[in-house]
Amino acid sequence: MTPAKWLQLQWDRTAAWVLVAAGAIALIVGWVGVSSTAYSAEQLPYIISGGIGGIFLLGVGATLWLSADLRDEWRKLDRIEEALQPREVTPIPGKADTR
Amino acid sequence: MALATAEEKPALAASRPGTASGGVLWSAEDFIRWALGVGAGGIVIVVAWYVCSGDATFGRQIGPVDVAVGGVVFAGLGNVMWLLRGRRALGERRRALLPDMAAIGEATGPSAEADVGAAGSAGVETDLFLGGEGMVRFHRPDCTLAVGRSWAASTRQVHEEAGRLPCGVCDP
Repeated sequence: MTPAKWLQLQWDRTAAWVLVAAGAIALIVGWVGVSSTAYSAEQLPYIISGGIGGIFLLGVGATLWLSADLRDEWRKLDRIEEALQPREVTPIPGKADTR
Repeated sequence: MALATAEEKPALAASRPGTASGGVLWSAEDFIRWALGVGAGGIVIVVAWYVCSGDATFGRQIGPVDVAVGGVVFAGLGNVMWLLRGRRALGERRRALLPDMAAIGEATGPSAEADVGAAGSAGVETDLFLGGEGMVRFHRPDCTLAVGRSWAASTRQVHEEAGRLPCGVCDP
């Protein structure tokens, strides 16, 4: 399977990783911004964009990742349900059913 | 815990379309609710950041910070509701579809295994299969779908005359 195909099939996990990475970067950028100034009025925008925004992105990423796990389990139940369906019996011509 | 047999699945589907055969894990309504929650939370954070960064007075920045915290909490609630909805749908479907492993453990404990072994060594095959009124399948007594059920035991002929088909799992 090519990486492009994998990314297409695992779009939810890919999006989750992207969001988690973006959230981590936002937190780091926020920390750098806050630590670069001593004025509270200049720190607060970094707290909102970097801190709160980063937490928001991490939350959405984690949700997408857990959603992907739930979808995997749902597909597994699909396969189990399919296996539980009765097998179709095709009668053989000229052979009577002795059961 | 009860198991869902093939004949019970349509009833499950009717009672909860999103979780039975052919259903979906999350409905479109769930998705819209989640998207609105997360989207609204994100917009609130962006607007709060915009207002906060446009004001150099610390006292007037506290309000936008509080609003941003509210936005992230709102989005978090949307995420939690989305996941809980999915877990609930999954659990309902799993309970409806899969056997209760505790009940199977009791039914296939050491004594039950000894009985089966004795019958097998004696070359005895049971001629009775389990089925009930209104069912469309009949099962072997040791079928996982029959564990914990109080279905009547009858011969194959009786079941077939009642219009029942062999179970797809135990293949009686």
